[in-house]
Order: sequence, then C-alpha cells, then structure tokens
Amino acid sequence: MLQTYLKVAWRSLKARLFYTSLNVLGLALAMGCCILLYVYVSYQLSFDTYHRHAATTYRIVNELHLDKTEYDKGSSMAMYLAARRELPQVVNGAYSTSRQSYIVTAGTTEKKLFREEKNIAFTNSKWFDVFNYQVLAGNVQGLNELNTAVLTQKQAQKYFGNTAAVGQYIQIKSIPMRVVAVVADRPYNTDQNSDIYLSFATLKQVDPYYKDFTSQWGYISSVNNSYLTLRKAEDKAVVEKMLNRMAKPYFGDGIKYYKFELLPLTEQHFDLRYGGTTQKSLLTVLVIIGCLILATAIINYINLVVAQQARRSAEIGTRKVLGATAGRLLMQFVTESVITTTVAAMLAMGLVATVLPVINRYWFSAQPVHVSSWWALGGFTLLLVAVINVVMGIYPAWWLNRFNITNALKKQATLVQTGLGRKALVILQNLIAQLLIAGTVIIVMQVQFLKNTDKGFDRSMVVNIPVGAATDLQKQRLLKGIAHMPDVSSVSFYLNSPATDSQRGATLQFDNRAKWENWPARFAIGDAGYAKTFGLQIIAGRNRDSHATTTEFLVNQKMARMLMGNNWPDVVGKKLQPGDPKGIIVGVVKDFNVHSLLEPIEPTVVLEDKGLQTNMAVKLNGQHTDATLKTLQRLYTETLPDEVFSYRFIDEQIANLYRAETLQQNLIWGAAAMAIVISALGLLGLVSLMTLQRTKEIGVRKVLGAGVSQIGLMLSADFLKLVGIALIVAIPGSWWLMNQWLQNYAYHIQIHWWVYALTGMLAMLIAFVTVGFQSFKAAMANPVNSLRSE
Amino acid sequence: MLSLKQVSKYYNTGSNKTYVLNKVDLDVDQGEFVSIMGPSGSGKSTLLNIIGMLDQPSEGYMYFLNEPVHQLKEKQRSALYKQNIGFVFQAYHLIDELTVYENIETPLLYQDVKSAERKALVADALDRFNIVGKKDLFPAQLSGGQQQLVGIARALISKPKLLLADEPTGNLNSKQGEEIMELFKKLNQEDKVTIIQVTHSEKNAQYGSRIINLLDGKIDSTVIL
Repeated sequence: MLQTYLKVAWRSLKARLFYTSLNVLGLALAMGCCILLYVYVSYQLSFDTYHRHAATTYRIVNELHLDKTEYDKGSSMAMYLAARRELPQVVNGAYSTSRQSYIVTAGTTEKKLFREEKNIAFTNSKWFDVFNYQVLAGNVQGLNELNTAVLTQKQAQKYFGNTAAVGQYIQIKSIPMRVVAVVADRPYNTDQNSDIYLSFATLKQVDPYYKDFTSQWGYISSVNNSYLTLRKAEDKAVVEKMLNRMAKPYFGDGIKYYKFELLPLTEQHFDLRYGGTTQKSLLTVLVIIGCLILATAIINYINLVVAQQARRSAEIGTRKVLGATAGRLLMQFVTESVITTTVAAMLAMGLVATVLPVINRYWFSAQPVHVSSWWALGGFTLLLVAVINVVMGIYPAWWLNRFNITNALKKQATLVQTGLGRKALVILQNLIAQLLIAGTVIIVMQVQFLKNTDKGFDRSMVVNIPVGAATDLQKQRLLKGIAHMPDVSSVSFYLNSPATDSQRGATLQFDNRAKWENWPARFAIGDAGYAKTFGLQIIAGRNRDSHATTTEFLVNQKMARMLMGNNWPDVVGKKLQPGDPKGIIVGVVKDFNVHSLLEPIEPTVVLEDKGLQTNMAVKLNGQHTDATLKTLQRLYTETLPDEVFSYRFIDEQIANLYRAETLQQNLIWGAAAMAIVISALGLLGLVSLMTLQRTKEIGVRKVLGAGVSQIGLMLSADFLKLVGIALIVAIPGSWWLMNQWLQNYAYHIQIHWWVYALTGMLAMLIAFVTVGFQSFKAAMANPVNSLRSE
Repeated sequence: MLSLKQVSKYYNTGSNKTYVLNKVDLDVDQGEFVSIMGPSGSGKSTLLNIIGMLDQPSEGYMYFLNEPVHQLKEKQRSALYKQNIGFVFQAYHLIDELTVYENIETPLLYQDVKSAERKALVADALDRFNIVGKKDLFPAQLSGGQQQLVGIARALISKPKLLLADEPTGNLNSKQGEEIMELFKKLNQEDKVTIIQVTHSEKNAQYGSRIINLLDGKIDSTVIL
C-alpha cells in the first residue's frame, strides 16, 4: 500500500510540476528561515551553559539606588573573599579582574610588542575549576604563584609560533611572567572573553593602584568579576540576604543605596542591565517571526490544495466508490505533503549551509553564529517537517470527512467557489508580509537616525589613537610634533568620547551648598582640547585653559539648569566638587549625548584626569588623510617606543554602539524579504489556477466584447482587493507595535503616514507584477480555443 | 436480491419539498438485467445512486441481500457495497495518474487483497477484456471505448454480485456503444452478473430483461422483455 501511495503521489506531483515547484520553493525558503532562526536562538541560549555547575553558579552584582537606579555587574574582591570564607552555602567560587589592556612583549628569538585590548585577566587556578577549560599543556595550578601566566592556544601561537609555550616568558611593564599552562581557545558560546590569564598575585606589581584591593569593600568596578557556586539553587535568596548583611559594616550609612544580588551565570548573556548583549525579547520576536513565515508557506500549500479540489474531487469520488476509506484517502494527501516537505527540508538544509557563512560575515561579523549541536539541528528539522505535515493535513482531513460522492461525480465538475476561507488566508499572508515591510522601513530609518545623529557634538574626521600610560613629557612631545602638521585641526588627550558605552560619574557638591546633590553627573574626561576636538559649543563662559593653575570644569546646559534653573548661566564661576576633585565651573556647553541615543541627555561635567587620559583624539581637516595618519604613526613610534600604534575613526566606534539595532535591522529585513517572496509564490500559484478555472468565463466575456485590459484588470483586481484589505489591518497593528519598539529609545523618529503609503504601494506592486502577467496572458488567449475545449 | 419500499428523495426548497423520487417500490432479482429509462430530471441517476448506497433516501426502506440498508451505519454500508457492487460511469472516472493495470487493481488494494492474488486477478481481467497490450498506458492515451472497457474491468475485478451503470455508453459513438452493450449482455447471461443500467437509448434498453420507465420521480411503467 505504501508503495502505491508513493507512486501515485510522485506521479501527481510530477503532473503538476509548476505548482509542486512553487510549494517546494516556498516551503524550502520558510524552513530555511526557521532553521537559521533556530540556529541563532539555540546558539544564544547555549551561552555559558556548558560549565560543570552552570545551574548553581552566580555572579555577584549590585543595584545602586540613586535618583535613577544604576546597575553594576562588578563586585569587590573583599566581598567575594568574605562570602567564600563565611557562607556555608557557597561551595566554590572564582574571582577575576578582567578586560585589562597592556602592551605584551613576547617571542621566541626576536621579542615583539603586542597591544592586547581588554583580553587580559588577573585570576588564580580556581577560575579553571569553576569554568570549564580544556588544559592542553602544563598545569593551571601554577597560576597561584607570583608572576605566572596561562594562555589560550591562539594566544600562545601568536606569541611563540609552534614552539611549546609552557616554560616561556612574556613581559608586561618589564615584569617577566612564566607561562605555566596553555588552555584550548574559548568556545564561541561564552561571555568570558579573556585570552591571557595572569596570576592574581601579580596584579599589585603591574598596577600599584590596586594595593588595598583585597580588603576594600567599596572597590566595585565592572571589570571585577566574582562568581559563587552554591550548594543548591534554592540557596540564592539566603546568600543574597547574607551578602547585604555582611556589607553593612563596611558601607555604613551608604548601604541603604546598595542592593547586592546574585545573577545566574546562564542569565548573564541576556541581562542588558549587567552587560548582557542579547535581549530575550528579541529571541521571542524571532521565534514569532519564524512561525509567521512558516505560516505563510503553509498557507500557500493549503491554498493550492483547496484550489485544486475541483480537479481532484472526481478522483477522490471515484476512489471512494472503489472502496477507499477517508483514512486511506487522507494518507494519499499526507504522502504528497510528506514528499513535498522532505524535498523542501533537504533544499532548506542546503540553503542554510550556503547562507550561514555569508550572513555570519555580513550580519553577525561581531559575533558569528555557530551550530551548537548538529544532532539537535537534525532533530529540529524532523520536528519541523512533522509539524508542517500535521498542519497541512488538517484541511484535507476535514474536507474528506464531509465529502459527498454524488456531487463529486456529477457529470460536469462544479467549480469550487472562491471561498471566504481562502480569501482570509491570502489576507493573513499579506498582512504578515506588510507588517514586516513596514517594520523594516521604520527600523532602517531609526537605525540610520541613531548612527548619524550627533546631539551637540561633531564626530566627523576624528581619529582615536590609544596612547596607554604615556607620560606628561611624552604627551608634550606628541603635541609639539602635531603642531607642525597642517592637516590636523586640533588634538585632545582624553578617556571617553561623546556617545560611548563607558560609564563614569559621581555625585557632586555645588557652590556653597551644604548638602551634596542627590543625583550623579556623568564625566567626560579630557584635557582642554576636548571641547574643540569634539566640536562642543560653549554657550556661556569660556573653555578651560590648559595652563590654568586651579582645576576648571565645563558643565552641560542640562546640569547647569539642574543646579540653578533658569539662571543657569550663573553657574559660571561657582565652585564644584564632582567626586574627589574640587574646582571652578568656567563654562557651559550645549547639551551633547555622552551615551548612545537610547538614553536621554544626562548632567555632564567635562573634566581633566591625567591618569585616565589614555587616548588621543585627533581632528583632521579631511585633506591628505592617509599621509597625515602615516606622519602620525611615525611621530608616535618615535615618541612612544613601548606602545603599539593603532587608530580608529570615532564614526566606527559610534556605529558599534548600535550593533544590536543593526542586527535587528538585518534580521527583520531578511524576514520581510522572505515573507514577500513566499507570499508572491503563493499568489502566483493561486492566480494561475484561478485563471485556469475561469478560462470559459474569460472566453465568454471576450466573445461578448470585453477588451484584454478589462479582463486583465478584472482578474488582478480580485487579488489587489485582498492586498488592500490586508493593508488596512496592517496600519494600526504595525503603528502600535513599532511605537512600542521606538519607546526603547530616548531619541527616535516619528512614524510618518508615507511609511504606510510606501508599504501599501510596494505590496500592491509586488502583487500586481505577480498576478498581472498571468491575468493578461489569460486575457489574451483566443476565446475560440478556450470555448472549444469545453 | 434488492428491494426498495416506498423510497423517496426530496430537497427542501423554501417551505416546499421538491421530490426527486416519490414513494418508489422496486424489486430486483438475482440475474436480472434492468434498464431504467426516463426523461432528464425524472430521478434515474438518483435511484441508481440510492441503490448503489452512494446516496441515502429521505424516506423509505431498502434491503440488499436481506440486509436492511436503511438501518446500517456509514461504515457497514460502505463495506457492503465495496464487496458486492461494481460501478460503471458515463465519464469513465478512471484515475488519470494510474495506468490501466493500476486502475483495475485499485479496488483490490482497498480490499486488502494479497499481492500475488491481486496479480492473478488483474492479469485475468486484462486477458478477458483483451486489453493486455494496453496495461501500461494511462487513460489519456486510450479511446473512449477503451477507457470504458477499463472502467468495466475495474468494476468487475472484485467479482460484485451487482453491476450499476449510469449511462455507460453516453460518451461513446454508436459502434463502441454496441460493443459495450454486447459485453453487458454476455456478462449477464454467461457470468450471471446482475446489472442495473440507466440509459437514454431505447436501443440499449432492449439488451436487458426488464425496462422501468420513470417519470417525475415515480415508476410510470414497467416492460418485461
């Protein structure tokens, strides 16, 4: 019997090759989308779940409740040590100070300098106990000694080529460190992003700044990571309570602002407050989009099955007369859909294999997506095939059950009416496509807006060059050299440009007020050249003087207003103490965004902190850029022999802030394109069947004198009407949804009416092109032929 | 073999009932060859469909092989006709995607006949109707007469006790029609297959043993030949 099913299904699919191809293609595209989305979502969900005790390991984080709640993923080592010592619920733990940048000297015969950006961590062997690493050579226990290092394989290779790295030395700030072990490169699905692990005991030597580090409870910084493995997950609440209680004596009255919490290791990747990079809500949206695209393809299939009922009903009727039961007839339909979906699934796999490397390169370049398990992927695909077949089998099952043999076998096969159900399906399909089109237009506009809008500063032609721990003398020499370069218009030594993700700030005391203000100000740290280099506009007072003997500050207008209301220009000349330094406000600048446009303008102080000014911003005039950069490099290497020259335009740095949005834009763009293609395929199949069934009517109309264009329009209009109805439903839905999304941004575009005009026109155009060709072809047929064949 | 008592079929049109069949009584014995005649709309096809259990009467009783059909459930009814009734249609209703061989084999598949037995039965039928050479062709490659021959072979493959034919020669030219009628006669006389056919043609009706004339859903007259 099975053989017969297969044989018949194969023949009937072959006989209607055109429709079969449309179905296979549509399903393959949709399944390809679903598989890609599955790969993406499962990859994101697998982050840091592979560690031995991932389910019971937590990161200590804190909330700081000021006017606005601040979230910090860092914690002090003192608290970590106390928790390890005093809490019986804590069975294991690890601590590191990560994201450190240094110039590393290494090499086998010839020593070379390497600039390592934020991939150095100080820790001990416990780290490799809590987190899973594969030790390739040596022993990580060596990390508990002074001046030792553990390298990842990639890093070892970079430094020592194929020579065994264990036993070799690397140097940081002239301190030699022995490599005691090499571990395998970190897997793709982890947020622990260090490549060089230095023994914790070395930290104080490398950076004297850290001398009271292990005992200071207040030393909380986002680069300090404490992880605790608990006896069981239920202990979380108790441990959190204990942490807050233990901290109390060390924070005194200040404790009321703090709340220490445990963030599950597996949540770390998703909690944007604590440096997570992927929103779970994005994953949910992706799953929904995947389902919608799949629905579009399934609707195509069902629509074509329904439209072909007329042709098939005689066959089904005959089979029933010959003794077939409804179950067996259903099997025939199911066999066809199983063959169709299986072929589609294979195509989809091929599609994914081809497309994944491409989108990894262009869309996910910052964080390529990897298949976490091929077995799971295979299982998912099978499940997908099964689900699709069940859904696609529902309609035939319902139809076969209420099937009337005598009607089906009437001598003239009756035309199936264009049922309400099918119209609804076409509308639904178009609705999905149009929601995605409108979404794409709006997201693209918003991302362009985010990337290209500067609030109160000018980023163009500003280059960032890290200078590390350059001394004052070296900085003076750089300035002197640059003064002779005609194409550089200004220079500044600074820490953070406007529009960065770095967070620095403090609460402050103003003028002679007794109380400190209860809100914190953000810091933009740079020398006197900062305002000019980044094009900040001074609207009251003057810029800071580089030769001033007292400390001078600039504040932004927002802060001036918060301090003095409408008399804001009067802040000039008043005293200010933001955090530690004391000085005088000398000028007010127009508001500029310190962070990304996701956040509103915050009160900001522009101030100097020589120790932190580890970058140099150079504003070029846009002429001879390459030559100027070469000259800069020469000057740099002469002046700073222990540093490595590198540069980056601020532009790119800002674009990086909106990586998540860019990714969303690409994903929805791709989804919209898919939905359009799939629904167009469906329309194509449907219209060609409809015109086939209306051949006689078209012939009669022509004989009665209808013109080609009248008939072509009549046939197209049926479908365009449906597209129009979909648009009417899409407008309010999309307007609401997209406004919800735009609320995430402090600065966002307005949705204009023409977005929907554009969407509607695009959808109409696509439908018309798809439907029009078939319609006019049918309209042009000679009525003699169509009427004779009856 | 077959007995209809006061069988009616009507449709509700608004508040009125439109009768297609009106209190028809009919008995058919084993081995008969009955022709049903009448003008268009007199209820011939409906009567045939009710006899074939493809359609149900609105009122009345029907017994087939002593089974009260009007009391049977859908499943039992279809089991009954599957085993005992063969159908021949005016439009042949061969399945386009199946070859001649496979078309004839289909009823056996639905009755779960074993593969070896199926082969033997189909080979027999092909031989008997002289269509061995056509067994691998598709319906579209055959003439109308040949298609109807396949249709009859298919109807007879499971050795039904009753053959129902709805204008079996309606789509054929007169020569092909005659051949089909000769075949029916032979089947009736030599193989003892009971046949009920619906026909428009006086000439074709003459092949049978009894002619029933329908008019407006009632039996107008019966002619024994």
